[in-house]
Amino acid sequence: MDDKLDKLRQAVRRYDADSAKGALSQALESGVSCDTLRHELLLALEDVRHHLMSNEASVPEFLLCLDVVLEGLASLAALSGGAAGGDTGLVIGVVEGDPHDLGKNIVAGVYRAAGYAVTDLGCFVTARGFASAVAESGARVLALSAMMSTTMPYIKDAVLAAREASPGIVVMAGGAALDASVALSYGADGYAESALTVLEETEAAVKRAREGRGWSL
Amino acid sequence: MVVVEPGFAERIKESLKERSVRTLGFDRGSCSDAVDVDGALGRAIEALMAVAAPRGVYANAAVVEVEEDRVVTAAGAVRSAMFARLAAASGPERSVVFAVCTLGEGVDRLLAAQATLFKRSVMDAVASELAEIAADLADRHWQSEISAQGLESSARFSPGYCDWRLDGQAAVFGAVDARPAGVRLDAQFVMFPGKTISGVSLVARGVPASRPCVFCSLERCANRRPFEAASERERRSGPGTGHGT
Repeated sequence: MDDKLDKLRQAVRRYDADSAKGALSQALESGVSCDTLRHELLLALEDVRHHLMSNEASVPEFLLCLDVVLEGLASLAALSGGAAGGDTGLVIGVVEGDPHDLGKNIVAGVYRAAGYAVTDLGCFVTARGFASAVAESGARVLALSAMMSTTMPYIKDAVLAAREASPGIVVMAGGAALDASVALSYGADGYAESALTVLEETEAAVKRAREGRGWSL
Repeated sequence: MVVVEPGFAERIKESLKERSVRTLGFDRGSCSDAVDVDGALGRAIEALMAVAAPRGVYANAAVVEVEEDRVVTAAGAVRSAMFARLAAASGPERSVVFAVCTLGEGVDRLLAAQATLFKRSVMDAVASELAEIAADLADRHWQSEISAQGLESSARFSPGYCDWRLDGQAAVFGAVDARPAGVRLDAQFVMFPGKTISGVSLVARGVPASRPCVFCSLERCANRRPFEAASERERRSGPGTGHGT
C-alpha cells in the first residue's frame, strides 16, 4: 500500500492531476479504502497550507494543490460509485448585491477537500435564500462572504434569517471587507481571514457552539 | 463612446504582470519550479487581449448643489458624504463626469471557461487589472478635454465602495447611456458584462486631492488609497490610447 500512496503523494506534490487520478485508480484497485485516499489528499493540502502560512510555499502552489485535490476527490467519487461529499453539511454563498465569487469558490473548495458536504449558492444570495437553504439542507454550518464595504451589512440580515430558520446553525463570515470585530458585531459565530485559516476557525466555532460557549475577541 | 485600441495593454505587459502578481498575493513565499506563474500570467494576458473589446461612455454634468451627504448634479445625485466633502473643498466650475467602461462579453465567456481555481484566479486577476487600465485610458479622453480648459479632476469614485452604496449605480446609469458600450445594469445593481467599471470623477478649477480618503480617518479601510493632489496625478499620466466615436 505504501508505494501506491507514495505515487499519489508525488503526483499531488507535482500538481499533476492526471497522475494523481491514475494513482488513485491503482490504489483503489489494490484495495486501499476511499477514506484512506481522501485522508491522503487532505494531508497533501494541509502540507502546502502550512508551508504557505510559514512563507515556505506560494499562493499559486496552494491553488494548484487544491485543484488537484478537488479533481482527485471527484475522480474518487466516480471510481468508487459514491458521492465525494462528507458528513457535515455546509451552505456557502456571497451576500446579495455582491458579485465577487472567486474567494468564495476557493473557500468552498477547501471545505470540500476537508470533507464537508458543501451546498454552494453562488452570488447575490438574499437573506431569505440563505435561510431556505439551511432549512432544506439541514446544514450545520453557514459560510457567508462579502467583499464590499457596502454589501457586508447584508451579512447581519443573513445571520438573523438563518438563525430563525435553523436555530443551531453555526455561522462563519469572511471576505475582504470584514474583520473579526465586524463579523462578531453582525452576530456571526466565527470569522476567517482567508481560505488558509477557514478550516481551523470553523472547527473552533463548531466546538464553541457544541460547548455552549459564545464567541468573543 | 470611447473605443480603446485593441492592443492597449501590449506596451505594459510587464507592468500588468506585476500588478496581477500583487493582486493575487503571488509575490509572497517561495514558488517551486513546478509552478510557472510567469507563463500562466503571460497566457492569461494573451487570451484576454484576444477577446477584450474595451468600450467606454461618459457624460459630464454640472454640479447644482453640494449638500452634506450628496452632490447634486444636473444629471442626478451622488449620494456620498465623502464625495460631497471633496466637492465642497474644490474650486469653482464644478461638474461630475459619470463614466462606464467595459472589457466586453468575450472576457466573461473566457473567465467562465476556466476549469480550475488556479486558472480562474490568474485570469480573473489579470482581467480586473485590464479593466482598470482600460477605464483609465478611456477616462483620458474626457480628461484631455477638461485639462485643455484648465480644470482638474479627481480619481474615479465607484458605487459600492466607501460610503457610496451600490444602488448609486442607478445614478451613474441614469446620467450616461451605457447601451452603446454593451453594458446593462440589473435589478440588483450589478453590471453585465462582469468586467465593467463605473464611477464618477469630480471636475473643478482646483481639486484638492484625487480621492476622498484624505477626509477619512478609517486607516484600516481595505479600499483606502493614496490621495495625491489631482495635478500631481495628471502630471504622471501619459498620452491616452483611445479614440472617440
